[in-house]
Amino acid sequence: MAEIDVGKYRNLRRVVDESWINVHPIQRGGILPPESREALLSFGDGYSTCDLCIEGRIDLVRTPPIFEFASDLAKFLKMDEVRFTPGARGAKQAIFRSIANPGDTVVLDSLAHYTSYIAAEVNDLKVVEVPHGGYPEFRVNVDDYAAKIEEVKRQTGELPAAVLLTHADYRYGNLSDAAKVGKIAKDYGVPYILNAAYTAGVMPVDGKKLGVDFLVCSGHKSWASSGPIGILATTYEFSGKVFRTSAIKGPWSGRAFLKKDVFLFGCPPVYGAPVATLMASFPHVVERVKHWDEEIEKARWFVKELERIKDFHQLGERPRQHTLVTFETPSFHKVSKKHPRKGFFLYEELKKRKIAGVQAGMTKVIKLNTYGLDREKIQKVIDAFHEIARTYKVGVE
Amino acid sequence: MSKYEDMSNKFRKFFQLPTSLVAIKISDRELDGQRPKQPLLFCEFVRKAAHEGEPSTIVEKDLQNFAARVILGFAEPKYVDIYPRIKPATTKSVLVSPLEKMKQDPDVVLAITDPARMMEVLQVLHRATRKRLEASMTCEASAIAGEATVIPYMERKPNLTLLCGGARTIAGYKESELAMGIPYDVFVKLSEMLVEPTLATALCGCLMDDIPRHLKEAFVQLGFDKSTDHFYGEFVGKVFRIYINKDERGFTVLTVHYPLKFKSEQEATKAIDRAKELLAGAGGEATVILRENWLDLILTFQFDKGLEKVALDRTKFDTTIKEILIRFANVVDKIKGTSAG
Repeated sequence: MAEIDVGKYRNLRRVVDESWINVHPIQRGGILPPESREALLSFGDGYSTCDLCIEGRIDLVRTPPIFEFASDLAKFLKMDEVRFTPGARGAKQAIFRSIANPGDTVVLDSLAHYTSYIAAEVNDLKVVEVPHGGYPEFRVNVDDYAAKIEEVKRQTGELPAAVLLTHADYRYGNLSDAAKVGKIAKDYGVPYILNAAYTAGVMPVDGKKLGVDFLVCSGHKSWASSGPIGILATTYEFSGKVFRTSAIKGPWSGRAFLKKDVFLFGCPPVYGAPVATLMASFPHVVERVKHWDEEIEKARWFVKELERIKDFHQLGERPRQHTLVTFETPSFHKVSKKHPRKGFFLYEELKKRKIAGVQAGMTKVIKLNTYGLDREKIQKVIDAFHEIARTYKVGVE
Repeated sequence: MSKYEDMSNKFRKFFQLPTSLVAIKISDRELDGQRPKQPLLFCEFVRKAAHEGEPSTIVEKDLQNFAARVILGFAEPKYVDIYPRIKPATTKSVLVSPLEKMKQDPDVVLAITDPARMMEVLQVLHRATRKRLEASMTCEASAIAGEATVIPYMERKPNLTLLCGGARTIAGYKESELAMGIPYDVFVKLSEMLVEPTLATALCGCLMDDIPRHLKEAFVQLGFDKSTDHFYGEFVGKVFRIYINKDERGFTVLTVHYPLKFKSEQEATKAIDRAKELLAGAGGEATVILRENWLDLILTFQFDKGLEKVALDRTKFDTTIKEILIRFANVVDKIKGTSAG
């Protein structure tokens, strides 16, 4: 092949550093506290958590204390057992693989993350969607889970293999009533998967109270971990299935791998920085979830202030129950149509003010997340939006 | 990445070609570059470039076979003229290189592959040139030099060859292989046609709904923009939102929204009854929802045949939607006039 210029890979640095205010919807919950940045440097080498791996699986390593951490995580989430996975997506794939057969149906919400659909696809499962209510709240009516379970039963003669609910969705940040779905699933005897990628780690999530059989979390989204890492938590009822260990034996060599998790491909590839930062951030996470109410208050204040701009209108449920906020912004979209930089004007105006996270090119609808920002920084973001509005003659109340 | 590497990758990926395309540059001066260690057949140099990624800058004495020297224009014929050949014979060197390693425009690009893939190449070539390919070949000798290289070079048109005995027995071309030479300018056109079919306009490739394109276009023509889940647009000075609800019959329900902001939740609450009363007279099913300090004014319309069918008659569709919006706008004005909204 042609020559490769490796120069561009030298001295890589991220543009958005700590001097910026980052409101990226998927990044706020993944920002490392200082102690985890130190752990990241210490465990940056590949396989660095495996210096003293004796039992051949990451969650069984005792130095650093990953084994105890797994147990503490289960307690924290009020579940029985956990494993680390390559992201929340890896957890969903493993769950579907372990409890469903090809051709089965799973019921999921129509705002589910795309990986929920692909986890079903890769396991040859059909999906039935619970609709959302459309504009302006796009709220999933969780009572409809019962109707959809009935529909699957009527059409296939069997109950769905599982129901999956996205606790807070990535598009509107709507927080669904997970306990209600837990009750419906229990009544029908259908395994219940809660995708808590945007909730567990930033707000209190009690798996037992919510009646979940599988709790799926994202380390890099909501546990202040560098990632990629997910957490698959389950109950003893299902842990034997989803954490089934290998039984294969080489017919000639006699080799066998008795401690390797089959559905997680032996030992999940999260060794090193992903699990080290997840662990180092755990004390920070345990503390921060106690302050969720304050985060919600800040998000509601933020909405109120941005809605002072002409035609800014928050989509999704009101009042906010989550810090991920979506606005439709027709007035800024109108500006973009005449601006030489088109939809990029907003991104660039924010960039000038060292504010990152609004997707470049977007002006019809924008998503932001205020999680973990103090009031002073949120005020700076508000001021920036107001200033941009005034610059382009968009009214601000 | 150079443009040659980019074109090469695009072509190879599109046609799932395991080997490199071979670029040929013919020059009347001696080109710089790696000279071969020993003389070979021209088709062997081409094969090395395709399979091993090895470029060669060839001069006359690097070619084993005299016929190829004549065909490629290194020498004039001695006794009788032959076809095809480069005339006059002014060639001093020929660069044979994998396309991705080129640093200048080649004259001809060769693709060597099996008939099934070549069929697909030809289909795209036809779309690019709108011309039938009329292949010229005898397959008697020096087919890679004459039929795949020199005919495209001299006559500025692509040519196909089923190769020759020497190529298969000496140079190692497989029974399943054949070759096509394409003038570089034609190859560029062909390359520009190689666009993977897209199902979505979004860069992420995700489809967020299955609203038919003509229905979306009908709203866009009315001045609405499609957001992720809904349309919005300014009509008579007001930004209306349109959401198309889907049920088992299709796109049968249209909801038009106007979120009206009040100074406080109390003021919005006070305005509810009047808003309901006024909206009820605007046609459609009227709903007013209080969301903190906002009143969501909603009109819902049933289209039993499906909006996608209604939108087939654009004039009727435009009239219908405009009438709805005008009535709605009047109601919004009245609500604003009778409240602090």
